[in-house]
Amino acid sequence: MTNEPFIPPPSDLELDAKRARVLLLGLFAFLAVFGLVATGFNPERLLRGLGAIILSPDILINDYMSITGVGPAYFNAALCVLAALILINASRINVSGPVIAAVFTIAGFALFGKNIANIWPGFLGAFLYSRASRRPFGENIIVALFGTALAPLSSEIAFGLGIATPWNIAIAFVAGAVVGFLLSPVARHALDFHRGYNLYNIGFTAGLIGTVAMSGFKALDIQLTGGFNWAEIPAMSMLPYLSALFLSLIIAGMIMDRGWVAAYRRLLSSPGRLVSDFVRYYGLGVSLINMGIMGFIASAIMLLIGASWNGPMLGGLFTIVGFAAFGKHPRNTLPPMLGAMAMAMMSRYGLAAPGSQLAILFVSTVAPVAGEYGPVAGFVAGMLHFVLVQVVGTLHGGLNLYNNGFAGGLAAGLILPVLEWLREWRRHEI
Amino acid sequence: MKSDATQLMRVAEEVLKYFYLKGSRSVKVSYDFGEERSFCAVSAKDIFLPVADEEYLRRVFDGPVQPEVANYYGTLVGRRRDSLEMELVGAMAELEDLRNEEGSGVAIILSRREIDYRTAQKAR
Repeated sequence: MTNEPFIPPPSDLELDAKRARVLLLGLFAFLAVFGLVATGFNPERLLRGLGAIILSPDILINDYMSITGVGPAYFNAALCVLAALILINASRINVSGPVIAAVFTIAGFALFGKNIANIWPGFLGAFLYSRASRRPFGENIIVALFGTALAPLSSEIAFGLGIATPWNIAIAFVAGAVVGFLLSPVARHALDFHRGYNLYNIGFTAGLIGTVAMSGFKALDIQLTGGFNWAEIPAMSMLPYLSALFLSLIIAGMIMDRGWVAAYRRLLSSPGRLVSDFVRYYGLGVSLINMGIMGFIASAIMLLIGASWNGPMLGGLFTIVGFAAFGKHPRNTLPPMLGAMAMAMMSRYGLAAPGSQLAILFVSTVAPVAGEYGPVAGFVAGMLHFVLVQVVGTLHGGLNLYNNGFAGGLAAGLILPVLEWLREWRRHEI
Repeated sequence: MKSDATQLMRVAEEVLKYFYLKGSRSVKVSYDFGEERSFCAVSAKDIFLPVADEEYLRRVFDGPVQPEVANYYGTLVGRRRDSLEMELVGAMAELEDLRNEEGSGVAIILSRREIDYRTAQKAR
Protein backbone atom coordinates (compact mmCIF):
# COMPACT_ATOMS: atom_id res chain seq x y z
CA MET A 1 0.00 0.00 0.00
CA THR A 2 1.34 3.42 -0.87
CA ASN A 3 -0.01 6.77 0.16
CA GLU A 4 2.96 9.08 -0.09
CA PRO A 5 2.88 12.46 -1.77
CA PHE A 6 4.24 12.20 -5.27
CA ILE A 7 7.54 13.97 -5.77
CA PRO A 8 8.24 14.23 -9.47
CA PRO A 9 11.66 12.88 -10.39
CA PRO A 10 13.95 15.29 -12.25
CA SER A 11 12.75 15.32 -15.81
CA ASP A 12 15.19 13.87 -18.30
CA LEU A 13 13.20 15.24 -21.22
CA GLU A 14 14.30 18.82 -20.73
CA LEU A 15 17.98 17.81 -20.67
CA ASP A 16 17.44 15.52 -23.65
CA ALA A 17 15.67 18.34 -25.50
CA LYS A 18 18.74 20.55 -25.09
CA ARG A 19 20.98 17.77 -26.38
CA ALA A 20 18.58 17.14 -29.27
CA ARG A 21 18.98 20.77 -30.35
CA VAL A 22 22.72 20.16 -30.55
CA LEU A 23 22.03 17.06 -32.64
CA LEU A 24 19.93 19.09 -35.08
CA LEU A 25 22.64 21.73 -35.27
CA GLY A 26 25.02 18.87 -36.05
CA LEU A 27 22.73 17.82 -38.91
CA PHE A 28 22.81 21.38 -40.24
CA ALA A 29 26.61 21.43 -40.04
CA PHE A 30 26.87 18.04 -41.78
CA LEU A 31 24.67 19.18 -44.68
CA ALA A 32 26.34 22.58 -44.97
CA VAL A 33 29.89 21.21 -44.91
CA PHE A 34 28.98 18.45 -47.37
CA GLY A 35 27.43 21.05 -49.68
CA LEU A 36 30.42 23.38 -49.46
CA VAL A 37 32.94 20.60 -50.02
CA ALA A 38 30.96 19.20 -52.96
CA THR A 39 30.95 22.61 -54.67
CA GLY A 40 34.68 23.03 -54.01
CA PHE A 41 34.02 26.03 -51.73
CA ASN A 42 32.97 27.96 -54.81
CA PRO A 43 30.37 30.56 -53.71
CA GLU A 44 29.45 31.52 -57.25
CA ARG A 45 28.68 27.92 -58.17
CA LEU A 46 26.74 27.52 -54.93
CA LEU A 47 24.61 30.65 -55.47
CA ARG A 48 23.95 29.79 -59.10
CA GLY A 49 22.87 26.32 -58.01
CA LEU A 50 20.59 27.68 -55.30
CA GLY A 51 19.05 30.06 -57.82
CA ALA A 52 18.35 27.18 -60.21
CA ILE A 53 16.80 25.17 -57.38
CA ILE A 54 14.51 28.03 -56.38
CA LEU A 55 13.39 28.73 -59.94
CA SER A 56 12.59 25.13 -60.85
CA PRO A 57 8.99 23.88 -60.61
CA ASP A 58 9.06 21.26 -57.88
CA ILE A 59 6.33 18.85 -58.82
CA LEU A 60 7.30 15.23 -58.09
CA ILE A 61 9.90 14.13 -58.92
CA ASN A 62 12.36 17.00 -59.18
CA ASP A 63 15.74 15.76 -57.98
CA TYR A 64 17.83 18.84 -57.23
CA MET A 65 20.98 16.77 -57.65
CA SER A 66 20.10 16.24 -61.31
CA ILE A 67 19.57 19.99 -61.82
CA THR A 68 22.51 21.50 -59.94
CA GLY A 69 24.68 18.64 -58.72
CA VAL A 70 25.19 17.41 -55.19
CA GLY A 71 26.68 20.51 -53.54
CA PRO A 72 23.88 23.10 -53.96
CA ALA A 73 21.27 20.43 -53.19
CA TYR A 74 22.93 19.66 -49.87
CA PHE A 75 23.44 23.33 -49.10
CA ASN A 76 19.76 24.00 -49.81
CA ALA A 77 18.92 21.23 -47.33
CA ALA A 78 21.20 22.89 -44.76
CA LEU A 79 19.45 26.25 -45.24
CA CYS A 80 16.01 24.65 -44.87
CA VAL A 81 17.15 22.91 -41.67
CA LEU A 82 18.46 26.25 -40.39
CA ALA A 83 15.09 27.89 -41.12
CA ALA A 84 13.34 25.10 -39.20
CA LEU A 85 15.75 25.45 -36.27
CA ILE A 86 15.10 29.19 -36.08
CA LEU A 87 11.34 28.54 -35.92
CA ILE A 88 11.81 25.82 -33.30
CA ASN A 89 13.98 28.11 -31.21
CA ALA A 90 11.44 30.92 -31.44
CA SER A 91 8.66 28.53 -30.41
CA ARG A 92 10.42 27.58 -27.15
CA ILE A 93 9.32 23.96 -27.29
CA ASN A 94 11.09 20.86 -26.06
CA VAL A 95 12.84 19.15 -28.95
CA SER A 96 11.78 15.51 -28.77
CA GLY A 97 10.86 12.75 -31.22
CA PRO A 98 8.30 14.54 -33.42
CA VAL A 99 10.48 17.61 -33.90
CA ILE A 100 13.56 15.50 -34.71
CA ALA A 101 11.46 13.57 -37.26
CA ALA A 102 10.17 16.82 -38.78
CA VAL A 103 13.63 18.37 -39.16
CA PHE A 104 15.15 15.24 -40.71
CA THR A 105 12.15 15.07 -43.05
CA ILE A 106 12.72 18.68 -44.09
CA ALA A 107 16.41 17.90 -44.67
CA GLY A 108 15.52 14.91 -46.83
CA PHE A 109 12.84 16.59 -48.90
CA ALA A 110 15.01 19.67 -49.38
CA LEU A 111 16.99 17.47 -51.77
CA PHE A 112 13.98 17.15 -54.08
CA GLY A 113 11.16 19.64 -53.76
CA LYS A 114 11.51 21.91 -50.76
CA ASN A 115 13.78 24.87 -51.00
CA ILE A 116 14.74 27.89 -48.99
CA ALA A 117 12.20 30.02 -50.88
CA ASN A 118 9.11 27.80 -51.19
CA ILE A 119 8.87 26.65 -47.56
CA TRP A 120 7.92 30.09 -46.18
CA PRO A 121 4.31 30.35 -47.44
CA GLY A 122 3.45 27.13 -45.62
CA PHE A 123 5.10 28.38 -42.42
CA LEU A 124 3.16 31.64 -42.76
CA GLY A 125 -0.13 29.75 -43.20
CA ALA A 126 0.49 27.72 -40.04
CA PHE A 127 1.42 30.89 -38.16
CA LEU A 128 -1.76 32.63 -39.31
CA TYR A 129 -3.80 29.61 -38.20
CA SER A 130 -2.26 29.90 -34.73
CA ARG A 131 -3.08 33.61 -34.60
CA ALA A 132 -6.63 33.02 -35.79
CA SER A 133 -7.06 30.29 -33.16
CA ARG A 134 -5.55 32.55 -30.49
CA ARG A 135 -2.99 29.85 -29.64
CA PRO A 136 0.80 30.15 -29.46
CA PHE A 137 2.61 29.22 -32.67
CA GLY A 138 4.63 26.67 -30.70
CA GLU A 139 1.51 24.51 -30.35
CA ASN A 140 1.28 24.28 -34.12
CA ILE A 141 4.98 23.89 -34.85
CA ILE A 142 4.81 20.19 -35.77
CA VAL A 143 2.15 20.80 -38.41
CA ALA A 144 4.08 23.85 -39.62
CA LEU A 145 7.31 21.89 -40.08
CA PHE A 146 5.77 18.85 -41.74
CA GLY A 147 3.33 21.08 -43.62
CA THR A 148 5.98 22.15 -46.11
CA ALA A 149 4.84 19.06 -48.05
CA LEU A 150 2.84 21.30 -50.36
CA ALA A 151 5.76 23.64 -51.08
CA PRO A 152 5.74 22.65 -54.79
CA LEU A 153 2.38 24.38 -55.16
CA SER A 154 4.06 27.74 -54.54
CA SER A 155 6.97 26.96 -56.87
CA GLU A 156 4.62 25.79 -59.60
CA ILE A 157 2.46 28.92 -59.42
CA ALA A 158 5.50 31.19 -59.25
CA PHE A 159 7.65 29.66 -61.96
CA GLY A 160 5.64 27.10 -63.86
CA LEU A 161 2.46 28.80 -65.01
CA GLY A 162 3.89 31.77 -66.87
CA ILE A 163 2.28 34.42 -64.64
CA ALA A 164 3.93 37.83 -64.90
CA THR A 165 6.20 39.12 -62.13
CA PRO A 166 5.46 40.26 -59.41
CA TRP A 167 1.98 38.71 -59.53
CA ASN A 168 3.43 35.22 -59.74
CA ILE A 169 5.26 35.67 -56.43
CA ALA A 170 2.25 37.26 -54.73
CA ILE A 171 -0.20 34.58 -55.90
CA ALA A 172 2.26 31.80 -55.04
CA PHE A 173 2.73 33.18 -51.55
CA VAL A 174 -0.99 33.57 -50.92
CA ALA A 175 -1.80 30.11 -52.28
CA GLY A 176 0.95 28.50 -50.19
CA ALA A 177 -0.21 30.33 -47.09
CA VAL A 178 -3.83 29.29 -47.67
CA VAL A 179 -2.95 25.59 -47.93
CA GLY A 180 -0.61 25.95 -44.93
CA PHE A 181 -3.51 27.45 -43.00
CA LEU A 182 -5.91 24.67 -44.05
CA LEU A 183 -3.43 21.90 -43.27
CA SER A 184 -3.58 22.60 -39.56
CA PRO A 185 -7.25 21.77 -38.89
CA VAL A 186 -7.49 19.10 -41.60
CA ALA A 187 -4.40 17.26 -40.28
CA ARG A 188 -6.02 16.81 -36.87
CA HIS A 189 -9.15 15.47 -38.51
CA ALA A 190 -7.18 13.16 -40.82
CA LEU A 191 -5.73 11.36 -37.80
CA ASP A 192 -9.16 9.86 -37.20
CA PHE A 193 -9.06 7.97 -40.48
CA HIS A 194 -5.98 5.88 -39.71
CA ARG A 195 -5.85 6.48 -35.93
CA GLY A 196 -2.13 6.97 -35.83
CA TYR A 197 -1.14 3.96 -37.94
CA ASN A 198 0.23 6.16 -40.72
CA LEU A 199 3.29 7.99 -39.43
CA TYR A 200 3.25 10.55 -42.27
CA ASN A 201 -0.14 11.98 -41.34
CA ILE A 202 0.63 15.34 -42.93
CA GLY A 203 1.37 13.45 -46.15
CA PHE A 204 -2.12 12.01 -46.04
CA THR A 205 -3.60 15.43 -45.30
CA ALA A 206 -1.51 17.17 -47.95
CA GLY A 207 -2.61 14.51 -50.44
CA LEU A 208 -6.25 15.39 -49.79
CA ILE A 209 -5.62 19.13 -50.08
CA GLY A 210 -3.35 18.62 -53.09
CA THR A 211 -6.13 16.64 -54.77
CA VAL A 212 -8.49 19.59 -54.29
CA ALA A 213 -5.86 21.99 -55.67
CA MET A 214 -5.20 19.75 -58.66
CA SER A 215 -8.93 19.44 -59.34
CA GLY A 216 -9.09 23.23 -59.40
CA PHE A 217 -6.23 23.43 -61.88
CA LYS A 218 -7.91 20.87 -64.12
CA ALA A 219 -11.25 22.65 -63.92
CA LEU A 220 -9.59 25.88 -65.03
CA ASP A 221 -7.67 24.00 -67.73
CA ILE A 222 -4.31 24.98 -66.23
CA GLN A 223 -1.52 22.60 -67.20
CA LEU A 224 1.26 22.00 -64.67
CA THR A 225 4.78 22.04 -66.01
CA GLY A 226 6.85 19.85 -63.70
CA GLY A 227 8.92 17.11 -65.24
CA PHE A 228 10.78 14.05 -64.07
CA ASN A 229 14.35 14.69 -62.92
CA TRP A 230 16.21 11.75 -61.46
CA ALA A 231 19.99 11.70 -61.00
CA GLU A 232 22.03 8.51 -61.13
CA ILE A 233 24.58 8.70 -58.33
CA PRO A 234 26.72 5.74 -57.23
CA ALA A 235 26.58 4.53 -53.65
CA MET A 236 30.26 5.10 -52.95
CA SER A 237 29.96 8.86 -53.47
CA MET A 238 27.57 9.11 -50.50
CA LEU A 239 27.75 5.97 -48.39
CA PRO A 240 31.05 6.61 -46.54
CA TYR A 241 29.89 10.02 -45.27
CA LEU A 242 26.43 8.81 -44.38
CA SER A 243 27.91 5.78 -42.62
CA ALA A 244 30.09 8.11 -40.57
CA LEU A 245 26.96 10.10 -39.64
CA PHE A 246 25.03 6.98 -38.61
CA LEU A 247 27.98 5.57 -36.70
CA SER A 248 28.46 8.82 -34.82
CA LEU A 249 24.74 8.74 -33.86
CA ILE A 250 25.19 5.25 -32.44
CA ILE A 251 28.38 6.12 -30.54
CA ALA A 252 26.84 9.33 -29.14
CA GLY A 253 23.80 7.34 -28.02
CA MET A 254 25.94 4.72 -26.30
CA ILE A 255 27.89 7.40 -24.45
CA MET A 256 24.67 9.14 -23.38
CA ASP A 257 22.87 6.03 -22.18
CA ARG A 258 25.02 3.39 -20.50
CA GLY A 259 22.01 1.13 -19.99
CA TRP A 260 21.13 1.28 -23.66
CA VAL A 261 20.82 -2.49 -24.18
CA ALA A 262 17.82 -2.85 -21.86
CA ALA A 263 16.36 0.46 -23.07
CA TYR A 264 16.70 -0.59 -26.70
CA ARG A 265 14.95 -3.88 -25.97
CA ARG A 266 12.03 -1.87 -24.54
CA LEU A 267 12.05 0.46 -27.54
CA LEU A 268 11.85 -2.48 -29.93
CA SER A 269 8.68 -3.68 -28.20
CA SER A 270 6.91 -0.38 -28.94
CA PRO A 271 4.24 -0.62 -31.67
CA GLY A 272 5.41 2.74 -32.98
CA ARG A 273 1.91 4.12 -33.41
CA LEU A 274 1.42 7.86 -33.27
CA VAL A 275 2.38 9.19 -30.77
CA SER A 276 5.52 7.15 -30.04
CA ASP A 277 7.96 9.76 -28.90
CA PHE A 278 11.01 7.58 -28.29
CA VAL A 279 12.97 10.50 -26.83
CA ARG A 280 10.34 11.08 -24.15
CA TYR A 281 9.68 7.41 -23.38
CA TYR A 282 13.13 5.84 -23.69
CA GLY A 283 15.57 8.77 -23.69
CA LEU A 284 17.63 10.52 -26.35
CA GLY A 285 20.57 8.12 -26.07
CA VAL A 286 18.74 5.02 -27.18
CA SER A 287 16.77 7.04 -29.74
CA LEU A 288 20.07 8.07 -31.35
CA ILE A 289 21.20 4.45 -31.42
CA ASN A 290 17.94 3.51 -33.13
CA MET A 291 18.40 6.34 -35.63
CA GLY A 292 21.89 5.11 -36.51
CA ILE A 293 20.78 1.50 -36.82
CA MET A 294 17.81 2.45 -38.99
CA GLY A 295 20.15 4.49 -41.16
CA PHE A 296 22.34 1.45 -41.76
CA ILE A 297 19.32 -0.79 -42.41
CA ALA A 298 17.83 1.64 -44.94
CA SER A 299 21.26 1.97 -46.59
CA ALA A 300 21.53 -1.82 -46.85
CA ILE A 301 18.10 -1.97 -48.49
CA MET A 302 19.12 0.73 -50.96
CA LEU A 303 22.20 -1.31 -51.85
CA LEU A 304 20.09 -4.46 -52.13
CA ILE A 305 17.64 -2.97 -54.62
CA GLY A 306 20.39 -1.21 -56.56
CA ALA A 307 19.07 2.27 -55.86
CA SER A 308 20.64 5.47 -57.07
CA TRP A 309 21.91 7.59 -54.15
CA ASN A 310 20.20 10.73 -55.41
CA GLY A 311 18.00 13.38 -53.78
CA PRO A 312 14.70 11.48 -53.55
CA MET A 313 16.30 8.27 -52.27
CA LEU A 314 18.42 10.15 -49.74
CA GLY A 315 15.24 12.00 -48.80
CA GLY A 316 13.72 8.65 -47.94
CA LEU A 317 16.82 7.69 -46.01
CA PHE A 318 16.86 10.90 -43.94
CA THR A 319 13.13 10.56 -43.26
CA ILE A 320 13.60 7.04 -41.94
CA VAL A 321 16.46 8.16 -39.71
CA GLY A 322 14.37 11.05 -38.34
CA PHE A 323 11.34 8.88 -37.69
CA ALA A 324 13.55 6.43 -35.83
CA ALA A 325 13.06 8.90 -32.96
CA PHE A 326 9.31 8.87 -33.52
CA GLY A 327 7.90 5.42 -34.17
CA LYS A 328 10.17 3.45 -36.50
CA HIS A 329 12.48 0.66 -35.45
CA PRO A 330 13.76 -2.47 -37.19
CA ARG A 331 10.99 -4.77 -35.92
CA ASN A 332 8.10 -2.70 -37.21
CA THR A 333 9.78 -1.29 -40.32
CA LEU A 334 11.18 -4.37 -42.04
CA PRO A 335 7.87 -6.27 -42.57
CA PRO A 336 6.21 -3.52 -44.64
CA MET A 337 9.47 -2.95 -46.53
CA LEU A 338 9.66 -6.65 -47.39
CA GLY A 339 5.97 -6.56 -48.38
CA ALA A 340 6.62 -3.67 -50.73
CA MET A 341 9.65 -5.43 -52.22
CA ALA A 342 7.65 -8.60 -52.78
CA MET A 343 4.85 -6.63 -54.45
CA ALA A 344 7.36 -4.76 -56.62
CA MET A 345 8.74 -8.06 -57.89
CA MET A 346 5.26 -9.52 -58.49
CA SER A 347 3.86 -6.45 -60.19
CA ARG A 348 4.57 -4.93 -63.58
CA TYR A 349 6.48 -2.08 -61.92
CA GLY A 350 9.54 -4.13 -60.91
CA LEU A 351 12.28 -3.29 -58.40
CA ALA A 352 14.28 -1.02 -60.69
CA ALA A 353 11.61 1.64 -61.25
CA PRO A 354 12.25 4.87 -59.30
CA GLY A 355 8.67 4.83 -57.99
CA SER A 356 9.16 1.31 -56.66
CA GLN A 357 12.45 2.13 -54.98
CA LEU A 358 10.99 5.20 -53.31
CA ALA A 359 7.98 3.19 -52.13
CA ILE A 360 10.24 0.53 -50.59
CA LEU A 361 11.83 3.19 -48.37
CA PHE A 362 8.76 5.29 -47.63
CA VAL A 363 6.49 2.29 -47.00
CA SER A 364 7.86 2.46 -43.48
CA THR A 365 5.10 5.02 -42.89
CA VAL A 366 2.82 2.04 -42.11
CA ALA A 367 5.34 0.52 -39.67
CA PRO A 368 2.88 0.85 -36.75
CA VAL A 369 0.62 -1.74 -38.42
CA ALA A 370 3.43 -4.30 -38.07
CA GLY A 371 4.26 -3.05 -34.59
CA GLU A 372 0.71 -3.47 -33.33
CA TYR A 373 -0.67 -6.39 -35.33
CA GLY A 374 2.48 -8.36 -36.16
CA PRO A 375 4.80 -8.90 -39.12
CA VAL A 376 2.23 -10.62 -41.35
CA ALA A 377 -0.14 -7.67 -41.06
CA GLY A 378 2.80 -5.34 -41.70
CA PHE A 379 3.81 -7.32 -44.77
CA VAL A 380 0.27 -7.12 -46.19
CA ALA A 381 0.06 -3.40 -45.38
CA GLY A 382 3.34 -2.94 -47.25
CA MET A 383 1.95 -4.70 -50.31
CA LEU A 384 -1.24 -2.65 -50.21
CA HIS A 385 0.73 0.56 -49.78
CA PHE A 386 2.93 -0.29 -52.75
CA VAL A 387 0.05 -0.72 -55.20
CA LEU A 388 -1.73 2.38 -53.94
CA VAL A 389 1.28 4.67 -54.12
CA GLN A 390 1.74 3.92 -57.82
CA VAL A 391 -1.59 5.56 -58.66
CA VAL A 392 -2.50 8.12 -55.99
CA GLY A 393 0.09 10.58 -57.28
CA THR A 394 -2.12 11.30 -60.26
CA LEU A 395 -4.84 12.61 -57.92
CA HIS A 396 -2.72 15.51 -56.67
CA GLY A 397 -0.54 15.72 -59.78
CA GLY A 398 2.68 15.53 -57.78
CA LEU A 399 1.89 18.66 -55.76
CA ASN A 400 2.18 16.69 -52.52
CA LEU A 401 5.78 15.77 -51.83
CA TYR A 402 4.70 13.17 -49.25
CA ASN A 403 2.96 11.02 -51.83
CA ASN A 404 3.80 7.91 -49.81
CA GLY A 405 2.19 9.47 -46.76
CA PHE A 406 -1.00 9.88 -48.78
CA ALA A 407 -0.92 6.24 -49.89
CA GLY A 408 0.10 5.13 -46.39
CA GLY A 409 -2.91 6.89 -44.88
CA LEU A 410 -5.23 5.15 -47.30
CA ALA A 411 -3.56 1.76 -46.77
CA ALA A 412 -3.57 2.02 -42.97
CA GLY A 413 -7.10 3.42 -42.84
CA LEU A 414 -8.40 0.61 -45.04
CA ILE A 415 -6.59 -2.27 -43.38
CA LEU A 416 -7.07 -1.10 -39.79
CA PRO A 417 -10.81 -1.80 -39.34
CA VAL A 418 -10.29 -5.34 -40.65
CA LEU A 419 -7.35 -5.99 -38.31
CA GLU A 420 -9.23 -4.48 -35.38
CA TRP A 421 -12.25 -6.66 -36.09
CA LEU A 422 -10.08 -9.76 -36.40
CA ARG A 423 -8.40 -9.06 -33.07
CA GLU A 424 -11.69 -8.54 -31.29
CA TRP A 425 -13.16 -11.63 -32.92
CA ARG A 426 -10.20 -13.71 -31.74
CA ARG A 427 -10.57 -12.31 -28.22
CA HIS A 428 -14.30 -13.16 -28.34
CA GLU A 429 -15.18 -9.52 -27.78
CA ILE A 430 -17.62 -9.59 -30.70
CA MET B 1 -15.53 25.38 -25.61
CA LYS B 2 -11.91 26.04 -24.69
CA SER B 3 -9.51 23.52 -26.17
CA ASP B 4 -7.67 23.16 -22.84
CA ALA B 5 -10.92 22.01 -21.23
CA THR B 6 -11.62 19.62 -24.10
CA GLN B 7 -8.15 18.14 -23.81
CA LEU B 8 -8.56 17.59 -20.08
CA MET B 9 -11.82 15.76 -20.77
CA ARG B 10 -10.03 13.49 -23.24
CA VAL B 11 -7.33 12.82 -20.66
CA ALA B 12 -9.90 11.84 -18.03
CA GLU B 13 -11.63 9.57 -20.53
CA GLU B 14 -8.37 7.73 -21.20
CA VAL B 15 -7.64 7.30 -17.49
CA LEU B 16 -11.20 6.02 -17.07
CA LYS B 17 -10.50 3.47 -19.79
CA TYR B 18 -7.27 2.48 -18.03
CA PHE B 19 -9.13 1.84 -14.76
CA TYR B 20 -11.81 -0.12 -16.63
CA LEU B 21 -9.16 -2.34 -18.21
CA LYS B 22 -7.62 -2.83 -14.76
CA GLY B 23 -10.94 -4.30 -13.61
CA SER B 24 -12.86 -1.39 -12.15
CA ARG B 25 -16.58 -1.28 -12.86
CA SER B 26 -17.35 1.76 -10.74
CA VAL B 27 -15.38 4.84 -11.78
CA LYS B 28 -16.08 8.42 -10.82
CA VAL B 29 -14.84 11.34 -12.89
CA SER B 30 -15.09 14.94 -11.73
CA TYR B 31 -13.77 18.23 -13.06
CA ASP B 32 -12.96 21.64 -11.72
CA PHE B 33 -12.48 24.16 -14.51
CA GLY B 34 -10.63 27.26 -13.36
CA GLU B 35 -9.45 30.42 -15.05
CA GLU B 36 -5.76 29.58 -14.86
CA ARG B 37 -5.74 25.85 -14.20
CA SER B 38 -8.30 23.10 -14.57
CA PHE B 39 -8.37 19.82 -12.69
CA CYS B 40 -9.87 16.41 -13.16
CA ALA B 41 -10.11 13.59 -10.65
CA VAL B 42 -10.69 9.98 -11.61
CA SER B 43 -11.31 7.50 -8.83
CA ALA B 44 -12.16 3.83 -8.62
CA LYS B 45 -12.91 2.34 -5.21
CA ASP B 46 -13.15 -1.25 -6.38
CA ILE B 47 -9.54 -1.76 -7.51
CA PHE B 48 -6.08 -1.59 -6.00
CA LEU B 49 -3.19 -1.18 -8.43
CA PRO B 50 -0.11 -3.41 -8.09
CA VAL B 51 3.18 -1.57 -7.53
CA ALA B 52 4.20 -2.00 -11.18
CA ASP B 53 0.99 -0.35 -12.41
CA GLU B 54 1.33 2.51 -9.95
CA GLU B 55 4.92 3.08 -11.04
CA TYR B 56 3.79 2.98 -14.65
CA LEU B 57 1.22 5.69 -14.00
CA ARG B 58 3.80 7.88 -12.27
CA ARG B 59 6.26 7.30 -15.11
CA VAL B 60 3.64 8.28 -17.70
CA PHE B 61 3.36 11.72 -16.13
CA ASP B 62 7.09 12.10 -15.58
CA GLY B 63 8.16 14.95 -17.82
CA PRO B 64 6.70 18.26 -18.89
CA VAL B 65 3.44 18.82 -20.72
CA GLN B 66 4.16 19.18 -24.43
CA PRO B 67 1.53 21.52 -25.90
CA GLU B 68 2.81 20.98 -29.44
CA VAL B 69 2.15 17.24 -29.11
CA ALA B 70 -1.11 17.64 -27.19
CA ASN B 71 -2.50 20.17 -29.63
CA TYR B 72 -1.85 18.13 -32.76
CA TYR B 73 -2.11 14.51 -31.66
CA GLY B 74 -4.49 15.02 -28.73
CA THR B 75 -7.45 13.99 -30.86
CA LEU B 76 -6.15 10.42 -30.81
CA VAL B 77 -6.79 10.10 -27.09
CA GLY B 78 -9.92 8.18 -26.19
CA ARG B 79 -10.57 6.97 -29.73
CA ARG B 80 -9.12 3.47 -29.72
CA ARG B 81 -11.20 0.55 -28.59
CA ASP B 82 -8.41 -2.00 -28.38
CA SER B 83 -5.54 -0.08 -26.83
CA LEU B 84 -4.61 2.76 -24.52
CA GLU B 85 -2.93 6.07 -25.20
CA MET B 86 -1.52 6.67 -21.74
CA GLU B 87 1.86 7.90 -22.98
CA LEU B 88 0.16 10.59 -25.02
CA VAL B 89 -1.95 11.50 -22.01
CA GLY B 90 1.29 12.09 -20.12
CA ALA B 91 2.20 14.82 -22.58
CA MET B 92 -1.20 16.50 -22.14
CA ALA B 93 -1.65 16.89 -18.38
CA GLU B 94 0.28 17.11 -15.12
CA LEU B 95 -0.04 14.70 -12.24
CA GLU B 96 -1.17 16.47 -9.07
CA ASP B 97 -1.80 13.48 -6.83
CA LEU B 98 -2.03 9.72 -7.02
CA ARG B 99 -3.46 7.67 -4.16
CA ASN B 100 -3.57 3.93 -4.24
CA GLU B 101 -4.79 2.24 -1.06
CA GLU B 102 -6.13 -1.20 -0.48
CA GLY B 103 -9.73 -0.85 0.59
CA SER B 104 -10.04 2.79 -0.47
CA GLY B 105 -9.18 2.20 -4.11
CA VAL B 106 -7.22 4.37 -6.48
CA ALA B 107 -7.64 8.06 -7.20
CA ILE B 108 -5.69 10.26 -9.55
CA ILE B 109 -5.85 14.03 -9.87
CA LEU B 110 -4.55 15.65 -13.04
CA SER B 111 -4.36 19.26 -14.07
CA ARG B 112 -3.88 21.34 -17.15
CA ARG B 113 -2.76 24.92 -17.20
CA GLU B 114 -4.54 27.49 -19.31
CA ILE B 115 -2.01 28.68 -21.84
CA ASP B 116 -0.27 31.93 -21.01
CA TYR B 117 -1.19 33.48 -24.31
CA ARG B 118 -4.92 33.06 -23.74
CA THR B 119 -4.65 34.35 -20.19
CA ALA B 120 -2.80 37.42 -21.42
CA GLN B 121 -5.49 38.05 -24.02
CA LYS B 122 -8.18 37.95 -21.35
CA ALA B 123 -6.32 40.32 -19.08
CA ARG B 124 -6.34 43.06 -21.71
